[in-house]
Amino acid sequence: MKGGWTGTVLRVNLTRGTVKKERLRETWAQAFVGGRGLGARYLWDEVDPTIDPFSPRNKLLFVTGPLTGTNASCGARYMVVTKGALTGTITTSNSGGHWGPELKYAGYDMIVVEGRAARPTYLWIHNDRVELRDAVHLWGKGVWDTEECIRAESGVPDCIVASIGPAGENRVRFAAIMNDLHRAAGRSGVGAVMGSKLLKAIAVRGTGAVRLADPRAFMTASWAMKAQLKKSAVTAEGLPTYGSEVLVNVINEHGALPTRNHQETVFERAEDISGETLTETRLVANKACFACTIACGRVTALPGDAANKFLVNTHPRNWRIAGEGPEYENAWAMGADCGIGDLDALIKANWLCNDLGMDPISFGATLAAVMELYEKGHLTTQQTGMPLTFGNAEALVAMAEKTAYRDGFGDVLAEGSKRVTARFGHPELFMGVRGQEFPAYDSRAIQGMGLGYATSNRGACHLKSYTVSPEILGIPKKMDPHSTEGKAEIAKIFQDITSAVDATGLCIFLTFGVGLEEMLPQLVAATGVRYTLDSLTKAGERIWNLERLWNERAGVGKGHDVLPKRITEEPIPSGPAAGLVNKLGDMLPEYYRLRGWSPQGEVTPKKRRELGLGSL
Amino acid sequence: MAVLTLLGGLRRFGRSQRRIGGTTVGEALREAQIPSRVLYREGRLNDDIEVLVNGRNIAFLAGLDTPLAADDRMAVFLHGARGFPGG
Repeated sequence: MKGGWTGTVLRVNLTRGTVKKERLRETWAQAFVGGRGLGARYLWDEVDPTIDPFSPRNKLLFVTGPLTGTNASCGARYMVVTKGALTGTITTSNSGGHWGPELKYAGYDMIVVEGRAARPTYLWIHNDRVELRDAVHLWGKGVWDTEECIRAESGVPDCIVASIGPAGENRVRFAAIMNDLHRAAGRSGVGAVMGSKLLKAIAVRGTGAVRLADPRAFMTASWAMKAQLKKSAVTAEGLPTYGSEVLVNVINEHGALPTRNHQETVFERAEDISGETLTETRLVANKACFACTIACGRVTALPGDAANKFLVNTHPRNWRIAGEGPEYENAWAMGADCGIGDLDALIKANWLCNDLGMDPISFGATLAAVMELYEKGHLTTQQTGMPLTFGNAEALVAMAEKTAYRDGFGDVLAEGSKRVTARFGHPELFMGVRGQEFPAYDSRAIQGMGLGYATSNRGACHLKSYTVSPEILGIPKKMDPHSTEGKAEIAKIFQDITSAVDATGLCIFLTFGVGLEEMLPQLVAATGVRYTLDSLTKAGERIWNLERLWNERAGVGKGHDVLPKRITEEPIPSGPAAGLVNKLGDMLPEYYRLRGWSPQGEVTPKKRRELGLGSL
Repeated sequence: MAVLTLLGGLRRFGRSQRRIGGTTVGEALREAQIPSRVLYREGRLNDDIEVLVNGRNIAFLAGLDTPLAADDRMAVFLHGARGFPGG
């Protein structure tokens, strides 16, 4: 390998307590690039899709891309690939910060974690020195204390830690893996899988570098992309100034902000939780991941009495300092979806989710479903321990803590909204796909998002097919969000290209400012592989189809491309999108046709051969 | 009069919400006190500017000629990007 990839995989067996290094499968790396794609290829080969996500036979893969750790703008990402605890699907959940680059500098493209430890353990990596260490003293600690403890006891203060909090330890089905205190591989329960293996953390210190096939060409390409990012009002101004939170008002103005578990789509207190309000009242600074020239991260503080507004039991010292977030999706899930307009409550609950290691989207959306159950009389205060009415900010903060510890009714919430709504006899109140809760766009008002949610391999997700871009932001062209015309084609294109970007190790936010063709020269210069726009897009399509094939073997492929009846049959009651439902049935046949799948949504043998997946 | 809401970076050009005159979107934008260099390029609405009337993008209505009635909600925001994947 000329560059980009290190060529080395670290294989860790927790059952046997062994660590070994092996060569990266070079042909797989070229065909699936890295990150999400390479992880999916290894998972296909090594994990039976029908097993329980908490089985020791499930594996947890941490996979970088060839541009992770390079000077490419936003080359910070690593992907966690496993069978998701929330969904039972293949899941690919990625994070930024500095952990991925540090793993590359230590000399590894990926880590394959197998088996289950006999007692709490953490993995220590310092270049060539790799060992499993006892973590009994860390078990029970939050993410922030865990990072601090490992740095102190290792004597290597510059190490970067990815860890789980109590939520992961307690197998909360939407537990996250956190690094750099606030960066999250957030969705689908990857943290719960890590907890089931009794793996508390992976701490890395690397002092090497990423070799580049053609350094001069790489730097030229990298500077060209940085210049392009500086020209975009989104990546140069909008995201640095307001973060993703700027979308709260924009989506609300379109009548597409799901409110009170998707019963409505306009939130009367959107301004109170918006990016503009956050920036004016609670923002300390913005923050960037490794090599990022955007810096969308929000460092927030609760000044004065605001820090004491909502009392929590966990690590009270933390509530007097600055933390991070919320981002748009989190502010929506714990805000509008729960009918809560108190920004301080959202900030505190978001900090709790970060420290306790929990996905705020699924947590907020699960609480919203429970609030609807409660308000409709399907749950009582005796069962929940407190009134779980829409708008109850105290309950939001309290339940964040209880859920992570599975304390009281938090034990119920920890199962996610699909299981909770089914348990109390109203599965129709689950708002999601393949067991994963929707993110922050109502697909009755943005039709293409409904198709993206329904066909998303890891369950309902905004990151895999962000048709909000053309439907709301007019990028790259304006498409009517209320119409289904052209949505099958744009969803397929976005899915394939996003898969490719996810495989490179770059952040998807780049795509607001540059296209795939502008990222391509860096990838070619780094790896020495003559990727073209066509071959890279084809790699994205290969990844998407492989994930779909894995899901078919897991029993969550075809037949699971469905939306809740509320979305397809209950018209939006009021606001700019009043009267609309999502017309998934109009889009799905065209989508299957464009994918080259059967009319029932199966990946055909012909398509498999075309993508080089025929032998699988 | 319609109600104008400015979002995000456009709030530097005045209060985030206010009443505004004009019987069409074009007339209302002239009263909005947003510099024309921000709004227009070569006489057309800048690609970076999105205008909503009652939640609908004027691109799918009558553009700058979209009529405004009393109490209509008009929202303006700046997104400004050149291409999502491949675009």
